[in-house]
Amino acid sequence: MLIKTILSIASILFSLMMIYITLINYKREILNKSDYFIWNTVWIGIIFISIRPNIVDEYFNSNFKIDIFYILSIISIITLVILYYTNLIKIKILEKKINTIIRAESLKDILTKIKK
Amino acid sequence: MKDEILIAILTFNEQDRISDVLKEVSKSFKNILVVDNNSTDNTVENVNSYSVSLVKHRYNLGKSDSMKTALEFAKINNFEYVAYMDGDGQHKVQDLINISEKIVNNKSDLVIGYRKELNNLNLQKKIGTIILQNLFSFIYKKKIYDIQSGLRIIKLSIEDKIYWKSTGSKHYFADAEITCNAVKNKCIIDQVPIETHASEKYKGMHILQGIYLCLMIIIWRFF
Repeated sequence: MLIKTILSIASILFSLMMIYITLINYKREILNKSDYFIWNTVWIGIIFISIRPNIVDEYFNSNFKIDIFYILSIISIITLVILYYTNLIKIKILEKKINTIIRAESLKDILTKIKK
Repeated sequence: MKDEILIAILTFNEQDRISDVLKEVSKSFKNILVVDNNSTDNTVENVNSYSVSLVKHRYNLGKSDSMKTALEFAKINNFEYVAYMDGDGQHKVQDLINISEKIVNNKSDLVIGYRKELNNLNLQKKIGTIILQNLFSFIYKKKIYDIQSGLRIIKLSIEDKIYWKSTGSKHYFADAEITCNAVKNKCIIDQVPIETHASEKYKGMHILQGIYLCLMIIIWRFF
């Protein structure tokens, strides 16, 4: 019971911190309105599950006869892989764009000099 | 012959050696391009004291993108061949002349300079090179002595066949990918023995990069 309480408190504190970080990123205009809404929903959802884990547990047990932790672990892994993959692709695209711009810019300089 | 060849010298913090390299190369070739990867020392100042073209990247993009910049420059200026050499002075100009003559006389698509002997390498690098050679021969059914050699000359008309996608500033896969693409697409490849001075700066690949390169050699063959 003590471990469950500690885990719940840690989870709530973590979510509150993430809500604050999300707010900062929103104010810096790194996140747009829809990002801000989606991420806050995620963190508030985690706080809700942390406060009353039994509700979710009972719901899944009575309706689907499955353990909530089983579902959560699968969903977490899938989510992590999807996030990792999309981030990787975005970084690759950005890297490619930046490299192309830098190379084009440096070539433009030398070609202008040659023309002169 | 030499009018149609662009010599691309790739540099990153080579202030101690670049002057000697340029002095030697400019005796034999007149179209020289230095691609600098945002050196933080006096490399650019030293290069500017010679009458060569200089392209300076604003950030260090790595060897692969420097090679692409040189290729682009060669295309814009209608050169027929582009020869690559490292700016650290490890390659000899006579070898550059040899590979240039070879590509023109033999009408080859790609000429690679390979180290005649591996004696100046330490045991780990020697074993790594032998493994790479054998893996390459097995996968591509062709004997290439030094798939990663930095001294090479390419005919611009085969650009589409050898175009490389390796990128990043922490590894040297572009040369290997070019070789793999050239063999895969049945380009005419010649190899010329060369001598190299051991560079103090170049530490080679570590073992994980070596394993990664082996994997990439297999991937480039089939995809």
